[in-house]
Amino acid sequence: MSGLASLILTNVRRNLARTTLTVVGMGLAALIMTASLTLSEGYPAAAYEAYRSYLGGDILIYAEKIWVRGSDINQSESGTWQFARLTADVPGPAGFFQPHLAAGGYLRPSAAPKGFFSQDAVRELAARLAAAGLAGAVRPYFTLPAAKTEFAGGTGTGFGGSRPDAAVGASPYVYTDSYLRAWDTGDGWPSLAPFVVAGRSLGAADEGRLVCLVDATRGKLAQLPGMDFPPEVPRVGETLRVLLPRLSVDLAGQPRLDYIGAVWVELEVVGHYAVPTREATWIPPGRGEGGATEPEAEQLYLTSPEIIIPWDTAEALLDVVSEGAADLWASALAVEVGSLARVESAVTALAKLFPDLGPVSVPRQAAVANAHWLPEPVFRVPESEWRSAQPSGQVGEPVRISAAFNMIFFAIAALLAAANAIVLVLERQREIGILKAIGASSREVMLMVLGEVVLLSSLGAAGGFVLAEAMAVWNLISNGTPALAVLLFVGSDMARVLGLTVSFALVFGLLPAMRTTGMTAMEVLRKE
Amino acid sequence: MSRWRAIWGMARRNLRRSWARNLALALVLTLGIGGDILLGMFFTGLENRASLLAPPAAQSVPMQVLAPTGVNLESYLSWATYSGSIGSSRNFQEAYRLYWQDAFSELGRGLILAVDFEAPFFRAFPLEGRWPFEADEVALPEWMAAGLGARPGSVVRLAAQDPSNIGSYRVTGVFRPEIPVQLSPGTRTLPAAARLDGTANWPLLALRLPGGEPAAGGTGPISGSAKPADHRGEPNGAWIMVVEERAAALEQRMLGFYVREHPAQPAAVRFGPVGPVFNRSRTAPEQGRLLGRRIFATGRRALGASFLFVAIGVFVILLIAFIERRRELAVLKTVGMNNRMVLAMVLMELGAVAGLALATGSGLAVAAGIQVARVVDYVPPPTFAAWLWAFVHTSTVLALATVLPLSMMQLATVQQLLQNQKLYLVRKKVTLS
Repeated sequence: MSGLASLILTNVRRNLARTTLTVVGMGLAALIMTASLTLSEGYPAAAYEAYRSYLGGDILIYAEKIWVRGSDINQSESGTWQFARLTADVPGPAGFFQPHLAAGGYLRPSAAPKGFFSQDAVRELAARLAAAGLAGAVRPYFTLPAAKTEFAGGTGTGFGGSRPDAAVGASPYVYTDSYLRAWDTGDGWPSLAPFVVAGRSLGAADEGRLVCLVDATRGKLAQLPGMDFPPEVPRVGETLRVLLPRLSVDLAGQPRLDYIGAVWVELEVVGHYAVPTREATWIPPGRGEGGATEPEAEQLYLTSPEIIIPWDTAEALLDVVSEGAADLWASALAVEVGSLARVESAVTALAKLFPDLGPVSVPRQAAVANAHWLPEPVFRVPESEWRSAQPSGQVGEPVRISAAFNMIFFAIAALLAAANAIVLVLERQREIGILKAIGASSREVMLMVLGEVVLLSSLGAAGGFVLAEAMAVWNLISNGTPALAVLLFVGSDMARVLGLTVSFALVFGLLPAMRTTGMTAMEVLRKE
Repeated sequence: MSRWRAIWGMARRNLRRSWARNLALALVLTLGIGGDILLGMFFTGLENRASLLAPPAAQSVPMQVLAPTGVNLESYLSWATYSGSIGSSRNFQEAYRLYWQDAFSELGRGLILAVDFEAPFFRAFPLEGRWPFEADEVALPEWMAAGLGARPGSVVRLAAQDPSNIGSYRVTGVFRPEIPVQLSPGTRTLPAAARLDGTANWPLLALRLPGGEPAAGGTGPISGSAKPADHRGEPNGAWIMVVEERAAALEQRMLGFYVREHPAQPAAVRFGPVGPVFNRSRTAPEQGRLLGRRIFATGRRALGASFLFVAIGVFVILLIAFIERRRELAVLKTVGMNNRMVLAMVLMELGAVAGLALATGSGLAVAAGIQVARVVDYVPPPTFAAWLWAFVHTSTVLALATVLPLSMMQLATVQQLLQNQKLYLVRKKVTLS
């Protein structure tokens, strides 16, 4: 047997070109398969951290199916969906990532629930998630729509400039896109303190009080062409006046807003927040012609219209504007899963568990939005960078066909290995004849051919696996996955990849190997 | 002529002799062609299914454009009238101007439209009462009148543009939008599900007031006794009587024009209306098709990748065939066949196999496709375009996979072929030293 092994090794060494081709082919297939098994399922712990921290979780579950999956289309009857436009009735994170759904509209199943979650719905959902072992904390994205928001502004220089006409009796500055968002200062919610840039954050003592945080970066919006925004933001200590429409729920369970009976509420601004999300880099136009090509960068901010208030305050305001008709006004839930390493698997499981809702991971949602220069406004990035990246309408989860892709790539790689083996047999007929003449059995010659195919395939697969799995292991470790669990994940992935590799190699290597058994020594030598 | 007949005779003999290899080649090509046609049908079917998810919306007019602030509506409309049309033909004959603004009521947030009631399609609307013509008068759609409990003669409270600036309006009429130009012939009533999507489903005010200066074609500022809550002004929207089939193309052109003239970064859409809003009856089906295309794009890509598999399969078969036939080719070259004749013989063999595969694959795909289309309602039957696409795919793959072995065969000398010497893909440069 050791003689056979050394013969295989000699053959491998002698045909370096074909050996390399087979190893690289199989390595590529293994790399793609390992990546689809592991990398596409998760992210490193720090991925899209600012978005996740600000939204309150790793996965968003929309009350409406605005994030569509292939199975939704495949399993729906014709004419059972309807066209809708995103409204400001129940504001939420969709306004950040898919704002074009307001003007362009989207499709949703007519029978699916519309609008928002109630406390009962959240409790039931959280219980089912816990039973399925899918999630940790479930945090409602509790908002209160506002018809308009006014503030006086000051004469001093704010974040975005000064106001020359801030005299007594001057018209107040107005926001028409703002709304209130509730943030629980206890109960396991993350702290807002890291985002606070002026004043103070909200604390437990603020619960029930009419205080708020506003986004400090909104003053810069006045610099955008065509945008009618105040050039400054309400100062810390200033009072905001917010006009809240009356809220109710109709007999069909749909949210209903009454703007005629709207209520003015005054909130004291106790702090400013800013959410730095990512950095945009670009090569300035005209550079690079003989000179240095150093990229320029701009720190991007989420620039949120949300006026953040304490949870108990929001509940009290909801009680006033709905007169007890609603106990929660949330278009989405933020779900924390603890580890991002397999978050996409969790989203797939959620989609199966709640077919009427629209779950999507925050990293996936943010990545799709970022590709279209959303959600952050830019001020220095040149137009050439974002001009062709306009949002393309309603998006959804791309259909998953990684299994088919894997099979295709493995089949290609195995074909290369088989071709190598066939050429090996054809070119070494004389050798095979001599081997048989000096006593090698057909089985031994067959083993030699098969052994070479399997050895090369395994070498390639191991290389591809190590390359892709290293990234996946980093995802697992950065998410704080215990060492034993990491080992188990790696072991199971390795078993799958190497198992498939060896199976393909054996199946495709069988034909050339069998050709050798059909040859007699005399037959081979006669041909020479 | 007889020379080519002899070559064809040799090719036929070779085809017979190496039947197993040629069968494998034919099978791979058959799978390629048939698979392409069937999988293409499958994905087209899924996109069709997506386009059927939401039915066309019932609309009073074929196309409504709501332009954002800053757009010169008259220039926009005159550009749109002839854009993309041939000669002096027009995209549409009539465009009725309107003024739209946000409106707030007890029923929520929506629009209020100031329109010219002389537009002919208003005559088809069942109307209880009359159309408004004074500044403080309004006509309500049936759904809104029911929600507010209003009838002609009632007074309702609405806020236009500014939610805190509420005004009182006398209801002069309650109308039920009709659908004069759409859906199947004879459909005259509005489906309940579409009530909120009709273009005239909002409260209507008069665009031109008595005593005010009526502008030609419904344009121009409106003077007179407008209430504080009533900010009627220059028209900023229009109902366009475009032929239904041309509406989608016109929308694309108008949108493209807008983006060129008013470039705005993608995030600007978060902070206000930065682009025109188009309402068309077929918006939903088109949106469905686009959604399907985006979701199933990865599937289409997989289909493309699978052709790599076919290409490598064909390449491997041809390469092995060439290596096996080295000695035979050497003999043929020795007895006087030139490269052209050898090439012709190999191509004839290949052509015969490819032709057989093309016929079999196409036949199988058409037969299977027709059966699938009968059973699965959203999968279309195979079309000539799908067949042509598959044919082009497969031919390209075949050509690419053939180049390498044929090039090696042409450049190989008799000696190289007979003595198992190294073969070259490109002609080796000979130098004298």
